[in-house]
Amino acid sequence: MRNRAIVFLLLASSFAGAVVLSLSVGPLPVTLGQVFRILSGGSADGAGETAMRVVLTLRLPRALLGALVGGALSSSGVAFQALLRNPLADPYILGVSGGAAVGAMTARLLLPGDSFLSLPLCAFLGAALAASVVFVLARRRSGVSRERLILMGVIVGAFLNALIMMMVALAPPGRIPGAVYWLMGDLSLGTLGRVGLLAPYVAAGVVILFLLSRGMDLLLLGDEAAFQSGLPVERVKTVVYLTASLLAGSVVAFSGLIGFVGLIVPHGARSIVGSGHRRLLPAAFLLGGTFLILADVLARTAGPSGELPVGAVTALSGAPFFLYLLRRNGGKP
Amino acid sequence: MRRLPDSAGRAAGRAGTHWVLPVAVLLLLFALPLRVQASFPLVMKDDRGVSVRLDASPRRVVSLAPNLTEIVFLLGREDLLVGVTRFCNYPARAAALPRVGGIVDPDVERIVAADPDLVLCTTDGNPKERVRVLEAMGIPCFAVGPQNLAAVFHTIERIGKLLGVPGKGRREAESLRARAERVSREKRTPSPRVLFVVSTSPIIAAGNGTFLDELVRIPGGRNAAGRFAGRYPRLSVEDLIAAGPDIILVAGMTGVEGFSPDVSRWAEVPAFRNGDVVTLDGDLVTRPGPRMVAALEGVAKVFSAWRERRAASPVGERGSTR
Amino acid sequence: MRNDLLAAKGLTFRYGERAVLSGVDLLVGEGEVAVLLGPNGAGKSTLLKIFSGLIRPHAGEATILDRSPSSYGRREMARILSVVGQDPPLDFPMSVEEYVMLGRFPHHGFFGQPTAADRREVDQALAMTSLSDLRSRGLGELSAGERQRTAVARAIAQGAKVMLLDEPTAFLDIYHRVMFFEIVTRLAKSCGVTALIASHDLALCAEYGERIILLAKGKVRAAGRPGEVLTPGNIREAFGVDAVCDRNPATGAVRVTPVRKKTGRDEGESALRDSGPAG
Repeated sequence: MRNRAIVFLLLASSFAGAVVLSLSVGPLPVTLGQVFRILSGGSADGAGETAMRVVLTLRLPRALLGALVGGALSSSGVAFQALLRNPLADPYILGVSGGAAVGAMTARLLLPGDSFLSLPLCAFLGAALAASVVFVLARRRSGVSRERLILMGVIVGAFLNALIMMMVALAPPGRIPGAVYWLMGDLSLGTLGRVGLLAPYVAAGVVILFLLSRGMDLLLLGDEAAFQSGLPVERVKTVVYLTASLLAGSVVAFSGLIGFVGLIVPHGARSIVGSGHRRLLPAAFLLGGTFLILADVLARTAGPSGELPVGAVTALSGAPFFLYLLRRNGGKP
Repeated sequence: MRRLPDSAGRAAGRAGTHWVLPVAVLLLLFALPLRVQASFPLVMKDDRGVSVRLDASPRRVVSLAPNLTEIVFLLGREDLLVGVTRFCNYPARAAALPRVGGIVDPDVERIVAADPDLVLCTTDGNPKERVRVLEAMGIPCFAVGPQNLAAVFHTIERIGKLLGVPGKGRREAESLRARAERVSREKRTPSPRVLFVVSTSPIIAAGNGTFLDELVRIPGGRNAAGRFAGRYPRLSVEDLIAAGPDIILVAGMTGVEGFSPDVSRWAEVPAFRNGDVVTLDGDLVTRPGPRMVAALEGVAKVFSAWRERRAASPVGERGSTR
Repeated sequence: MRNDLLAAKGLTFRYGERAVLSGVDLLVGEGEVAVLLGPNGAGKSTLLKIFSGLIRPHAGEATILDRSPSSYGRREMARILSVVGQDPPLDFPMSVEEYVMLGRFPHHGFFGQPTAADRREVDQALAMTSLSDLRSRGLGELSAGERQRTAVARAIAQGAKVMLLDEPTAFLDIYHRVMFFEIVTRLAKSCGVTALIASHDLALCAEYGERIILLAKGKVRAAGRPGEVLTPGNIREAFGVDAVCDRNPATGAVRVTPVRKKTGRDEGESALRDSGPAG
């Protein structure tokens, strides 16, 4: 019991540490002391007014967006892994990414003018549509089987990828770069307004998943065993699927496709707190937020030629870590 | 890596091309012996280092890039053109010519069908493999890839020779050179810090070694993105604030919109505070062709307007250039 | 004591055109250890699935305490009836104790925290299956025998009156099979649990089964005490093999010993195919 409390204390403090670090690091010099003064609502005394505005309107929303996105992707990954009983599942496995990408490209290509707002909306609609199509296609009278879900996810994903290629081929030049950068994962669009818009979705999704954590524990046993242990399996699977897709879709809409977070963070969290979802979900949320905030700090500051796509940073740091996990566990993730 | 803004700004006009001049001289040396025998058959090395041989003055020419099409028109040999890309829109008559595909996707079959005896192509836009296929079919392909204004002028001269109008080529290049020279001799101080962006969302700016960098430096500007390593660095809003440009030039292209209000409300950036954000015709500033000089003159005009307004209003209110 | 805790009447089930069960009648009384004996494909698993509510019969009816399985709520049902099957392998880290605690879901549901009572039940289940020492071990580190015992422990922790066991010893060696039947017998005696075990293991069913229901080709061939059911005729008809049925000198239970075919090897195989086992 005490151990558990210490583990969560450590997770929470590394999360807080990542936030503070991301507030103090950037092209404009701001000291830790200034960050704390600014955060405690003090006047910009010592910190220039620009520093204060930079911290509050650029870095803080970005850190919060990173926390929400990282946490939501990790929670969604945990849910998909339980749903598919496959530790290699991630939030994008069932077509959410392809749907979001097609939505975003459509916004870039077809809707003139201010795509700053229409892009997230179209991406979300695309993700939701793709997820629903996969679900409906995978559904049989007897319920939704994991094999059919994965099969339909692969087919729908391949179809959407083909659509993306068509759009890239047919698009006028100049329209594409924005969408491509967005596809590589991008937290630079973070504003307090957007964070406020995204937060309710993430909160709702995470809370629903948390309430279903016992159900997800049982899903790990397989459908028949879960059913015989008293779980309304089909209902739980449906809710978990829709919730995890909503989480991934709404996050994708604001940050583009950030890979690997939803795959590796659940593994990291599991190795710390085990597979019980009651503890796994909060741990994965904290760890995912910490990881993405740190990755974004790297993306903002490490590149010699300006900002790097944060999705590339997560994949670059995530893939070797995942290999390490695989090796350590003798080939089993 | 990083140059001191002051010396870089002042030196740009004459010596901004300093690392290219030797190259240009070298190229000239290569061309020199050929210059004497301006007649055909003619052998000339292109920018790939391939010796291209023309037995007679070409009569059917395909251009695989808009800047090359513009050069052919400048030389008055548009009557030779039997194929251009779908992006060739200047002068207006170019758009009426038969199309043979795009820049990255030229249609080999259509090119062959146009039966050209010379294909003008680029080293960095057109795919090498397709050019090689054309060459394998016995069609001479001359590839150019000028990396700066001086090289653009030289390219005009060389294409003049290829098209059998060496004198015209020399004259046109000379007059463009003179116009560029005039811009670099104009009043150059104070020197504005300038960010030339090719995309506003995300913010992608032109860095060192790009044509846009030259367009900023020749009229006496300092490239605010000069401290980044890449040719086209991507800037965060905070990078933009730290760079603090006095003027932001936008290469206007389809899909490039104005800055989002979230970005442009940062009054810390002098260009936003004073409204010095200017959109230029993207075709003008991104095509290494004759009109690049017009772009240069346009940029110079923006700078001098900025200098006048700056001189008119009290120092400090408009922000310093540090 | 009720004689009809589990009852089936005229149960019929088809997979497509193929009839798996045709008109099966069955009664299992409270506290009984009944064995559903039959060769592979006789319909044993299908019958258990109907009782646990996973599938519905095409004709006839199955009842648990006079109610059809589908009339129960999921958790209500799980408090009455638990199942030990062949769980698919688990690719996630989980300790034995966590795994057994999952059996308490019908009692504390989605939101309740495990109570002291839940923990007591888990402790007891672990003790009954001799797993107390392994409680914090990961499932992945267990042997097949230990793994199967955790499944039984989870079913015990579920605290149900009825336990259905589907080929629970199929992959175990003789030591673990005996141990397994010992556990189930003890459970029935000490906790009054009714067990219905589907198996094709003639020897152990003869030794431990109180009542045997012999299933072949989707029909009940015979039902009753081991001595009544396990006759050479029944066994030949259900399994397609000749056997000697005598008494075990040590326990007095029926002992079934297969008899090697007297003909040559090739001929023997073709003979087996001709009169092949049911299903």
